[in-house]
Amino acid sequence: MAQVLLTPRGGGLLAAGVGTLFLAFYTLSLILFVLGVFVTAFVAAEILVFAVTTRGFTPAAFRAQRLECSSFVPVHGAAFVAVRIEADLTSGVYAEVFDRHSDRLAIVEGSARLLTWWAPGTVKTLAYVTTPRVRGRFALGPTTVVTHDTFGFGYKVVDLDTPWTLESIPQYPSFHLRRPQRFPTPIFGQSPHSARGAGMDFHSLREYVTTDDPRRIAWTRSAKDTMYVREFQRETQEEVLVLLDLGPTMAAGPASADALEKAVDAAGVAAQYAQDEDIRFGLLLFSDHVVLHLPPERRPEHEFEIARALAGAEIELGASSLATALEYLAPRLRFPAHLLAFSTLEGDPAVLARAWGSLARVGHRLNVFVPDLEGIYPPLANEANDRALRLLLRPEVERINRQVDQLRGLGVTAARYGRSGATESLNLVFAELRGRRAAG
Amino acid sequence: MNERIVATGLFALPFVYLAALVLSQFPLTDFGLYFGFAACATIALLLGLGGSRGQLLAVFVDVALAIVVATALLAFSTFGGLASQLTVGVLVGLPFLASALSWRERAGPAHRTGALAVSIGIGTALLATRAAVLESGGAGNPADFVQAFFTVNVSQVQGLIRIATGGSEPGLPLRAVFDPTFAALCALAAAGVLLLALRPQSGSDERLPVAVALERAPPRSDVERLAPFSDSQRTVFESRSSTVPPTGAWPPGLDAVALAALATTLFLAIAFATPLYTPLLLAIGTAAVLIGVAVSSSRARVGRRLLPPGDAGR
Repeated sequence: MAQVLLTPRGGGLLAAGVGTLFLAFYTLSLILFVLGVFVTAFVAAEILVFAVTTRGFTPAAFRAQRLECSSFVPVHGAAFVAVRIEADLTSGVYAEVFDRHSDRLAIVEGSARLLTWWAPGTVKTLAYVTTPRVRGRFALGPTTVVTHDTFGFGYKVVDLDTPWTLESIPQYPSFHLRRPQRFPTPIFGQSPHSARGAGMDFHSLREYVTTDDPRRIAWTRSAKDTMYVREFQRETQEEVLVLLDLGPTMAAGPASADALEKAVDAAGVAAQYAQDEDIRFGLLLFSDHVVLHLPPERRPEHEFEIARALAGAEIELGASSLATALEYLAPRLRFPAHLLAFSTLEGDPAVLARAWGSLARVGHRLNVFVPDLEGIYPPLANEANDRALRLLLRPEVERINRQVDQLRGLGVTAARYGRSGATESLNLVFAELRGRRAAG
Repeated sequence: MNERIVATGLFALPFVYLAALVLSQFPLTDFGLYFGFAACATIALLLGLGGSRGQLLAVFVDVALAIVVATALLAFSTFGGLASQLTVGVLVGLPFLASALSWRERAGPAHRTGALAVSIGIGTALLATRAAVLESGGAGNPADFVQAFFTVNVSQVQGLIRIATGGSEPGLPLRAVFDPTFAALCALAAAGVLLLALRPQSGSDERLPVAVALERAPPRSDVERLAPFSDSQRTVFESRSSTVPPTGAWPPGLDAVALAALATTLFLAIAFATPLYTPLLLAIGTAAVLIGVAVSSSRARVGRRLLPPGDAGR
């Protein structure tokens, strides 16, 4: 039998009843005896009756399942979440049902909480629409059911296992996000951009028209009455790969506007530029190891995976190493690539120089975007606090400066970004890329 | 009506009656007595019903009263005159000060019950003191009243010790006094406190519906706003549960009230039938009840607050 947990209200009133009885024994006042007996008997009876009537209130008595929940949602979009709970209760109870969720999810319709009478044999459904305020992966559940006695003297609680992950993905207007059937909102999947044309990269199938080259007919996909042709996208050997540092130093800056957040924004912009310019785009997340690598590609599904990976980029513990990421990439890059690294350049400078040297020799280019640790914090209202912060940051700032100087000496372009982000520096990089393409 | 006003009004009734009863014994020229009482009542009102500024003011009044009493005691160096007048005033005002704790906005039923019990205890002592003073013919003299107050309490403690050690026929001055009007007003005050406590409320201090509603809630009208969602999602949203009061004819919680009333009646019956065994039976009953609660809630610690978990990281 699940135990009753006493609330401060119940425990306090029981103590007050017993205290009144003590006072009654001192004064031998009938009034105090009656008051003490009534209060003590009332609270005790309520708790004991509650304990007996809710003896079946255990996790085994509940069956909970998620219904029609959204998996992906754009930041500030709307996601649907629902959970249905059946209970084999022996008697009716006052119950509070609460679907646990991150406080970064705002409930805009319905409610994640319900306080109601739960009669035996009835089913409760929580349904709500939530909108994420920021990007990220948000765990939903467990669903907690609390039953109170009528007067709030005691309660029992069970946590129902209803795990669900809601991924809040940044919106990139020119992206093809090929998961429209799972998306609750029509925002994604409607980009007019496409890159059909002559080339070797398969793009899609479409119905045959008489002007098509018969060599492009997809015989295996065609039927007797309907013929399909393969469409290819323009072939390009250009690749852009964003390397995103998830080391703890990237958490520098105010919450939700830290160095990593600015880097994620910039990576999203870079991905869009690449999309618009028909450049294959890849992403590598690293800390002291490679967390995720999406090799450069140009499929719509790939764009979705890029957006999803950016949404889930979180700070990881352990010193990060750009050198490790570069060493990982060296045997995997097919074409000379343009690497855009957002990093605080932790690790041994000599190892980093060696790692980059092996990539530079085969024609890769590297642009490093380093957070300006002092500039990423807004000025503090108190001048003394502001100076103290600068003083604390100084050793790390000086270390980064030394690393930047060394990389510049190796021919690497390095730029800094602060509160305004790295978008302007990225504009310059992509302008240079465009210029190079125009020059052939 | 605001529960604080109800509690304050009902609470004050027996003690206003008591103050009128005691203060009417003394001549109007005993200024210190009325000053002490008025100061206590003012502090109680400021503490119990005032906001933070009122409570700050109460502290100042409190300090001023303490200075006046100390000065009077030093000036007269005996327990007569103004010093005893002030002491009587403060004694009569004590139940107000004790009950002021229960008028405060955040006071729960436990505070209110505790404050009521303490106030009734002090009131009973004052009634016994008044009876003792009237019996000795010292009515109208504040010094006699103060002396009688302490004598009554010391006699009560001595009487209880004598009972505990098996002595015969002790004198118990607090037991000897019974004022039916005071008892009736105390019952009103207790009813006020308990009626407020008996209002169904969840553990998170949220009022629960008491009314029986058998009709089904109409379908939600806000589904149209969920245009981007699929039909099945909209169907689930439309059928989501809403707050439902209990549908039984027997209001939840009534069984506990009935059991408590039964226990009280049983106690009164035993008290009148065999008064000698009543304390013993009461002590056994209380112990049994506490053991029962402890067994059914043995793992209870501090009431957990139900809050959405915050993000551990960003």
